[in-house]
Amino acid sequence: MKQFDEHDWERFEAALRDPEPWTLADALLAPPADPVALRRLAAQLDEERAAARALLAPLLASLPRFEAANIASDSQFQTRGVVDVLNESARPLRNAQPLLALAAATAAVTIATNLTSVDACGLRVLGAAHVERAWALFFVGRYREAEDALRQADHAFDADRQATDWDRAHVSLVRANVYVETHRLDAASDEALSAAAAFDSFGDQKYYLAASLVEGGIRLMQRDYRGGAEVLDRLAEKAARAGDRLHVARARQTAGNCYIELGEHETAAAYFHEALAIWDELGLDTERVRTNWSLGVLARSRGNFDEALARIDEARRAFETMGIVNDAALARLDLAEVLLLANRPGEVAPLLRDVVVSFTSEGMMQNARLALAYLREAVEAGGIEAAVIRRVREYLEELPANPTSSFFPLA
Amino acid sequence: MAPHAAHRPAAEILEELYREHAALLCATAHHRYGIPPEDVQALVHDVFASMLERNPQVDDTRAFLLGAMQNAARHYWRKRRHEAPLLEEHERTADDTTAAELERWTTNLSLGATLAQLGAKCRETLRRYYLEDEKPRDIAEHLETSAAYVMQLLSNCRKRAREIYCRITRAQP
Repeated sequence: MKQFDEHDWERFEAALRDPEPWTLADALLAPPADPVALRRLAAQLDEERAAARALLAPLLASLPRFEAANIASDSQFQTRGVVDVLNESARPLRNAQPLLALAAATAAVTIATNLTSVDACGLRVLGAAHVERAWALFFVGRYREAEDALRQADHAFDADRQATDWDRAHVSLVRANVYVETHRLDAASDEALSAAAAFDSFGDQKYYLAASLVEGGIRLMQRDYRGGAEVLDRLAEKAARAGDRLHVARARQTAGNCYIELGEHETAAAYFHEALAIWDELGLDTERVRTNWSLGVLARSRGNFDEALARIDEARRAFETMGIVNDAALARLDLAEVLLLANRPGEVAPLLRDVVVSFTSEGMMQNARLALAYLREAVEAGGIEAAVIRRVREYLEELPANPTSSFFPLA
Repeated sequence: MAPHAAHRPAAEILEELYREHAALLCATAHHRYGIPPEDVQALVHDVFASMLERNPQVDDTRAFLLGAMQNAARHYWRKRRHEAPLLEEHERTADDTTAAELERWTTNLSLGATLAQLGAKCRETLRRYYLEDEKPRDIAEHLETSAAYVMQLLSNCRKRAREIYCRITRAQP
């Protein structure tokens, strides 16, 4: 909280001699018009949202139930209230049940498209639905489709005079995250900074922190571990002061990865455990799985192979259950490498025979298949080496960033 | 138990925010962005409508509404660019408004809100003293009282104005 000094009060009194504050005071004293139309809109929104919550609550209990209802083609679900409720429901599901979040957000986009085609709602509502769908696609690792969804959001917001820079900042934030995952770091930084500035000016502290956190992630990817740790430590403190547990955990999770690279294992472990406790507290399962995976990687770095195997295997199984295919594949490869380090080569072959990845681009899929074929050949030949596994893992991890790069086996 | 913020009825949100911020938005639209008086109410309506529809969970609703008003004003003037050229402030974003100018506007807006919350007698006395540069003796004559009383009144009103200003700007006196 700012403390006023004598200089501030001198400026305060000087400003009282300026006519502008007095003109503003007179304007502020004039009673604003009675908001009849706004009251009507608010009542309509409340009514539609309450009806939508009652309709959707039983369906959003599980993915099969939601899909079976096929709400996008059911006339009773064609309301703006349903779009709002689907969006607000998809948000907390992004982490815990990303496939259900995606199904909900996709239905919201279809319904909002239907409604805007008959002018039953503004394009900004459709834009927001596209943003929510982009988040869901991001969480299941379908980055190209997420970018398509963001382009659609841009079009919708550009065509609606009531769309704001805050709406557009949400597009930038998802885009920054997608760019980070696909290693377009300079572009990611631009998007994140622009989103952070807009969220800050709109008084949205939570999303301001989210956008700022991307910067720390970028430093990590640029291998500026010390710089990244410093940025993230500052942000974690800021988030803690604001009581924002989610961003404390996110900052700690990413900073922990920086500290692994810096060889400061004690700090990394403390940060991961702090994050893990917060994920449990908030019930964010996907994030918990990622932190557990990081703890496995940390255990490997410290030579604790039993702990590394247990944690990475747990992460691998969880990703497979959640349908997060590519992370499941990377966790399998990590697991295989630790098995070799732990002198348990017999368990590697069955693990690597079933590695599956998923990319929407046929070109990327073809490249990935070549890498996996190389891996399987090495497995079948017997005596696979850790270097081979690492080569395939690095290639698959980098593939979204370099979709046209060909796979070259180890010389 | 308080309802989940995201589930708070739009009608309730509207009553609270409109009462608190509608006049501020009207003043900002007209005085900062030069929106003609006859169009101010429509813009304020759009800003509130957008907020009700999007239901943002922000920490500072005043900042959100002012940001949305800036966007609405920018769009308003873009649409009328053939009628009147866009002023510099319409095209500005948070990034490129000069810090000094933004600070001056923020101070004046907070000060305007402070003066609006003062009692009528305080406001009038401060206006005569600071804006119209009247001497305490002249103010006393107008109020049919003594100059010493006016000096005391000015001191009390300044103190009250400082308290309100600190509350509005979330600063410590």
